[in-house]
Amino acid sequence: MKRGILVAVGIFFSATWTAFRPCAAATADVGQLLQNMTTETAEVRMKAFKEIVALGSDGVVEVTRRLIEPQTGEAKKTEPATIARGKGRKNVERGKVEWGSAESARIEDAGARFALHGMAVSFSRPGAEKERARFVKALAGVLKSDRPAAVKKFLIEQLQIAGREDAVPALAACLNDEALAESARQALEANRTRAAVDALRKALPKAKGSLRAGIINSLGIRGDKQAVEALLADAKSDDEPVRCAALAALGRIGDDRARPVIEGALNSDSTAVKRAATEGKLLLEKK
Amino acid sequence: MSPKRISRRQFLGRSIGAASAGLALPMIVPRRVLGGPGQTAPSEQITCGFIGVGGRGSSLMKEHSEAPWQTLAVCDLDKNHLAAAVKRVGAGCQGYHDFREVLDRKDIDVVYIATPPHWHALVSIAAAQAGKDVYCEKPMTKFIHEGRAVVEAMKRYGRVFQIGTGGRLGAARMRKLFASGLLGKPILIRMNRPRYNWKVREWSGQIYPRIETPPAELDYDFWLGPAPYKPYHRHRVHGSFRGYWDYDGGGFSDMGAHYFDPVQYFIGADDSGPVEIEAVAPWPPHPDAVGMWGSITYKFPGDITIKCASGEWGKDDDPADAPFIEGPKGKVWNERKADPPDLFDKLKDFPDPPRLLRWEEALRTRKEAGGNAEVSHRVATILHLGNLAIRLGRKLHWDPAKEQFIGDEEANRYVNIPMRAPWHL
Repeated sequence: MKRGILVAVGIFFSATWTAFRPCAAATADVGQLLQNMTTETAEVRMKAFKEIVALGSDGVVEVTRRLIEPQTGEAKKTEPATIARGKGRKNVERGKVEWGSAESARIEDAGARFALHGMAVSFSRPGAEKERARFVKALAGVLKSDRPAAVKKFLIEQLQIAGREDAVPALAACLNDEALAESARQALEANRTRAAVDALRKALPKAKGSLRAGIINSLGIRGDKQAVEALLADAKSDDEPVRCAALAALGRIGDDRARPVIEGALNSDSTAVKRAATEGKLLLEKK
Repeated sequence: MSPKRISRRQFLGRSIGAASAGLALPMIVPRRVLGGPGQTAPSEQITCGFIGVGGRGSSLMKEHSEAPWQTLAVCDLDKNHLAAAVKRVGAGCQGYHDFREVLDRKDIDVVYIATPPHWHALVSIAAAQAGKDVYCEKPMTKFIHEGRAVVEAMKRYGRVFQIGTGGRLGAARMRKLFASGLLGKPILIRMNRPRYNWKVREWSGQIYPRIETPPAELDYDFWLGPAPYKPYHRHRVHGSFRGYWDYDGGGFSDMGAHYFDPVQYFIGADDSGPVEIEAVAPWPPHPDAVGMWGSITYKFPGDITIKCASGEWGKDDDPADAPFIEGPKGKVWNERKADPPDLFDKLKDFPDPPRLLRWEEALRTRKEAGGNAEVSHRVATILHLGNLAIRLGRKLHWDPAKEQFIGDEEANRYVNIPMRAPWHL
């Protein structure tokens, strides 16, 4: 089994290395380090990831440069994740895919996604705080750049895994960007720090429509008692999804101040509002 | 041992009482439920709505096409699926695009949910809130906390839940064997290929999908629902959605729901779960597409280890003829082959386990079905934990009582995953 794993991991990291081939000195270092990760042992892989991050932000940023927006058009052939890792690189090497073409960029992008996600997961494990902080700092920096929204959304998803309080300012800033707001809201909901809840609450006054409903959901899930006053107003909103979200969130938070507004909504003409109020009421009673 | 029979009126009274929990919930009892002139006897009719009528939903409709089942509504986000389902049922069946409209119908008793798994919890909870009983296809959920939310909703609203697999109904003898203690401890259970086909390749995702225009017949944004927005590609939807983490968990979730249902039952872990989980798989995984794995090993309380081997990655150390279950005092290959050979004969001296109720029986008696929400949530949790061990690439320590990982804050982020607005648990 060890041999099989080594071969497969080797194929993957060779493919990833290919993605870094045409870049500058830092990239060459990154590529070399990725090649050195051809191993089945978590400790050795972790060491290589640490060395990438030790290159400073440049190491991680270099990987993000390989990300591209999803491409349109009919794929020649799609491959399942089980076997696609090695084939991309082989196709480039054999000349089946022209280097620098859209197809090779797509292969580079896939390699970068594997690597960045791997780092997010690796550095979020207990005992890797130093590396995690550097990784988060690098991604937060890229969020301030002019990279495409689709690329930034992928980075936000990695911050949803690895980000702690240090990711909050960058994610909070994304709440003001229509293309990124929903992803950022979800990343902040997952972020178990007080700062993340504060950021969500602060964004509520300006948020509208679906984003507003989403922030209310997040505040309810996080049990934010400081949001109750604002949610009481939203529980009477003309925007039905917002109103329903607020009724359920108030029940989940479990603050007695919500009782009159929730009970009032039980008699609504809207089935959706009535059900949200019933849910809120039952959750409130449970507290 | 037969369950105590109660009248339809009695069970309605009980369920209303349970659902209300001190609160006057709006509930209308349709006339056909209470019976009377010109009405079909309530005991012979259960009215159904089917939500998700693609491949599996169509099969469910066929299985429930005769009395006592009566299909009044079908629902799908694909117009072609919907049209075919309406045509199949014929007169008296209404088609719907939005599942909430099916739930608004007061004349429907139960809903069958055969959507992709990222919708299962939300629709189940909404159905309970609307006063419907729920038959939900497996796997029950997409992430762990959804299952707990469904369990609580079923209790809160006094509804009956049944998962779409019934393996445990045929596992009474194995449960008796485990309860007898005849195998001794520690026990190793092997859920290896070829006895268990985990369909690893079949349900893998693609890592280079291009953006395609969603077909006119499919409401793709609604189909994504609570899942993060990802550009459309045909491989993400019908028939292959299991290959993407946003909607399901590959062959392990799909087949595992069938495989673990009886195993969890017979080892007596219906109210518990594993405490340690470790996977051998290529790593890092793709962030979006489900991929390959070799083995997943669980340690359960009570000195029980369960090993799943896919046979698709690396080499399985177990010989092909290794027993399915192995303890210091006995080995079992199947219910006809054991060592000692008279192992199952010795069970006649031990008591039978309580009989599990089938779906229809549970509906009529208002008692817990064999595949109720709690046990199904526990099965789904095993599957999610296995997939998380693959995705996180580290040994995980799980607290089955608190339903949280121990000392791993980031792993806990996968327990309750944020949903795309406006959807929420």
